[in-house]
Amino acid sequence: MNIAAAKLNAFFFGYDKNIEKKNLFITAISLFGLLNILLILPDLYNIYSKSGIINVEINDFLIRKDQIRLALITDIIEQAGIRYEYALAGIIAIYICSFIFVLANYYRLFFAIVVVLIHSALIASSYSFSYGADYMISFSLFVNVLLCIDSKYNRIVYSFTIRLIQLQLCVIYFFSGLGKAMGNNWYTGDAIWYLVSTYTDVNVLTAFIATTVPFVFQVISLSVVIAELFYPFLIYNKITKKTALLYIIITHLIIILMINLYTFGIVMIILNVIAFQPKIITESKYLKKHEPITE
Amino acid sequence: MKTLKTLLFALLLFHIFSSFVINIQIVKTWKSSTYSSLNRYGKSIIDALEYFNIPEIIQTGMRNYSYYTGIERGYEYYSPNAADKKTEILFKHNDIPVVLPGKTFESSFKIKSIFTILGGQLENEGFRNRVIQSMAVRLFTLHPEISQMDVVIEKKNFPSLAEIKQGKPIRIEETTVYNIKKN
Repeated sequence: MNIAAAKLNAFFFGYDKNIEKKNLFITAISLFGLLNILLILPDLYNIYSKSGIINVEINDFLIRKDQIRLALITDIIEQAGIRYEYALAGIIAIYICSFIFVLANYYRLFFAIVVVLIHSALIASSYSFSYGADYMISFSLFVNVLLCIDSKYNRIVYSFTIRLIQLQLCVIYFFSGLGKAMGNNWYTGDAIWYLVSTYTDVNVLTAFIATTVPFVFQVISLSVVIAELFYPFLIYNKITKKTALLYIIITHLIIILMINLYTFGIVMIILNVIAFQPKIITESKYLKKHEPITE
Repeated sequence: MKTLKTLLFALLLFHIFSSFVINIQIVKTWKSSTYSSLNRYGKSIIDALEYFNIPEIIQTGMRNYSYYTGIERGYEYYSPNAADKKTEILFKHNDIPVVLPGKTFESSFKIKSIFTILGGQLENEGFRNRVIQSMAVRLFTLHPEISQMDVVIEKKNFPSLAEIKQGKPIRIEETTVYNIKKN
């Protein structure tokens, strides 16, 4: 019993590999979050405004009543006599500045929490536009809060955070694989073909594969199901860990290239790298040279 | 130190358990939506999950927690089957497309995602009309020079790989459903 408890204790609270790179992980998550909102900024009012492409009535119909929405915050600001457009822009400005403060290590924990709250409100206010990547960013921002905690218990919190990301990734891939394994078209390869056709215009390459060598789609699709379903076992097995991690990263790169899911692919690569810290990336000369200054 | 470890361990258990429960609840909904498109193992899993129930009060707690931690929507991407059709709402003014906005690849992708995210809900005519009206109002605001638009429902049906072998092409159907005037 004591041995089991000691092992659990060591697993959850004794992991301090690359703890000196914590700032690098915070920087990666925050920079990506910042870049994401900057890319959405030109269409701010089309996506988040009450009178956007999907108006506030439809959005509120789709979400739970108890979720924090931008409209709740802007209503309060509007009562102070500020126009709705400025109130919305103000919230986004606070969101962007909070990222900058986290990056600059200025009251980092406080601003990391502000980022999580505003991001949650952004997602709830744009339900129809929020896809997988937004929820993965949300999870990464939550993890960022834990990474930003600086105390005498640094090592314990760091270890807990890394294990939390690892276990969450296991849940993500397992259920993603299980869902696919319960259907039919992931076995025949049709699923990959449908996704390519849905997200991109069919080009010469995809048309060639579909008509001449369709088994390529079948091989990709079966390997995705197997890798996702067995990810928890493959990633914690010493023999298969490196291969599984490499496969997952390559798969996300293929997703980026083939179906243009840039944001989703990048955030998943960031989470996998932070969770399992492949030497090839964490010990690369470039990262060592550009490592953020620790406090 | 021991108290902190106990609290963190409890949080971790709650987090993972919440994530499991949310995903199981989502998979359970397939019983009424996509049951016939599951394979026999999928059907057995769904049938077995019928006995998996969590008290509402615990579910509410989990939902509130999951909302702030990004785990609330589940991970059954493109499951159990990737869709073989795509429905889009298009707007045309004098046969010239009035495209939905999207100045960067990310915002453009998000805006186009409406059709994937709302997917099945757009089959409901009442809901679809509300979405069409909302989109049209925004497009009229962005293009003040336009006074009327045709609303076209475009349905793309993709053949399976086996059907492609038999020469079946991608089928595209366009139906003009409304003509909307600015006022």
